[in-house]
Amino acid sequence: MRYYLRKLIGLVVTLILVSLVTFFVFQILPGDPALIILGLDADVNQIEALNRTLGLDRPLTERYISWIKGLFNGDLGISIRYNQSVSSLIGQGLKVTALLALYSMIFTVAIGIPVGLFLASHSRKKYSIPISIVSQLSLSIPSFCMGILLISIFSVRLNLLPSIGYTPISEGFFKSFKSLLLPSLSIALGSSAILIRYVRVSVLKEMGKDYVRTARSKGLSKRRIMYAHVLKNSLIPVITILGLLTADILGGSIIIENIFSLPGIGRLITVSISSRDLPLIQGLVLYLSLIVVICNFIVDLVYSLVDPRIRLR
Amino acid sequence: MKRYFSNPSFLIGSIILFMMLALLVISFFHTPYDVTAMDLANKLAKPSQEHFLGTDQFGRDILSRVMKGIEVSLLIGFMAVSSGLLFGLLIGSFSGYFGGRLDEIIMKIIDTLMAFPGVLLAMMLIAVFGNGLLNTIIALSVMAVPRFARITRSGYMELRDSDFVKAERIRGAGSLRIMFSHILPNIVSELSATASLSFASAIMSEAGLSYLGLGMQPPSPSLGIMLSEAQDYMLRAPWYVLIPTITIALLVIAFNLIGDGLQEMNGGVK
Repeated sequence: MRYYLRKLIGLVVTLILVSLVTFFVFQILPGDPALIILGLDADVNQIEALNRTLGLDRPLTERYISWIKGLFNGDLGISIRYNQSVSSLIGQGLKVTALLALYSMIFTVAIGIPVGLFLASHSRKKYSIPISIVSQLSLSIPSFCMGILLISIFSVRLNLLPSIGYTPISEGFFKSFKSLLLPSLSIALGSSAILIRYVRVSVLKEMGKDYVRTARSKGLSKRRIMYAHVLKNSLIPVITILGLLTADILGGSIIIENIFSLPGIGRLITVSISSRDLPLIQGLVLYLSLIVVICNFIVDLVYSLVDPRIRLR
Repeated sequence: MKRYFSNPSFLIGSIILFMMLALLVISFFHTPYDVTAMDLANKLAKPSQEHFLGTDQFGRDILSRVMKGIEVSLLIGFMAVSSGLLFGLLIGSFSGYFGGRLDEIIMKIIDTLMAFPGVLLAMMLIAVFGNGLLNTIIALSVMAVPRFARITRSGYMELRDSDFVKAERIRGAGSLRIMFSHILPNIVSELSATASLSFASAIMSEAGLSYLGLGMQPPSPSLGIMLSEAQDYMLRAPWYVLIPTITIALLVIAFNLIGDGLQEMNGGVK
């Protein structure tokens, strides 16, 4: 119980710190934000009006508190560029980004775990070398380069898949899946390579343990040892990596969404930064980092359920 | 030295990096064409004898631009990593050596910075300070600091109570002397592996930011800008988009491989 309490307090502190950073970084914006938004030739009344709508005439701490309150009510202010509420914009974007992240995660796991297992159990065979090379390559190629390469192959050359654009799921699952296939693969190929490494190392470590030798001397088949004993134990540390990969995948989706013109959070961020749309940037940054912090928290919890020893440390 | 080059990752990475550096050095003295010289009659030309890698949408020579683009990438990568390393090292060494309250506070801040996914932290800083060369470098070095601080801190924590440090302390060496002339040499190899990997991610992030229009600005020959310009001509000039893509990938691969090689030689698989 104490473990969970400590973790929970840690979570709350991190959340508060993240919100503080997100809020105060944008307060050091050089110059008058209203002036930047309206341009240099804006008149005084306009600036004053904007300052009032942005709440810039109030003291800093008061603004922070009302911003945080707004977070709980789902009211993060009005976007200047879109003239819509920030929360509803984020909500729309999140639908696309969440789907993209979900597919990417599924691909990552579907590629990463089997290949990692394969490499671990065939560590000294010749066909493991080409696979290692491919996984090293896909680890090193930045996801947006991978995206461009995939577009050149599958859209420009083979004309199999759409190169850009998003089809919402309401227009048919298959169509929507097709529009997200290349983007999610571009993200997943890199992150699955990371997963492959961890799975391989973790399985190899587990294979060297005493209980595996015992199982072997009992006469169990290699396959049975692998799936009934080793797999379960070696996947525990992998859970942590999945948590870290969530952050990676979200970070990767920012650029990938722009390459494939997907109307998600990543695209909103880029637009909001180029148009200096403060309320929107703040809201987006806060949201994304909260998701990452909470994901890591959940990973910690799952980890402690799977491996209770961790609670004692 | 021989030990290093017998590691395949390190060897291949070094070969790629050497080729890139060769292009960089040549670009200081000579590029086939002026990087901003336009030739509209000859736009989107296929690779040929005059233009080895073809021309872009304004008829500018792609090879020359790629050569200058490598310069931009390596310059930004170098500046970002070295300042990230410097600050990370300072923060991490004090935090790890002295421990206590200070360490807790610093690490909480570092953890908070690490909660922002990927390039988001850099984007946030660019949103505040604006884009351009210097701000891109600042943003990317802030992004690199937490990683260095963490590695340094764990190294210092491990070594601060070791026998050789105790011996120095008894001999009367001051904290600064112990920290920087006795402990630091022991973690240099680990830091250099991290530096190489951070170099890769700085190059990647610069290209990504410039692609999004948040890093370097046209007509600067950043590889990211070339990529975003080339994407519009994917159907007409498929080779055009592939050139910056492959160049970025090669740069990133080179530093990743070198970093991996160094890490393997340090005796640990990540």
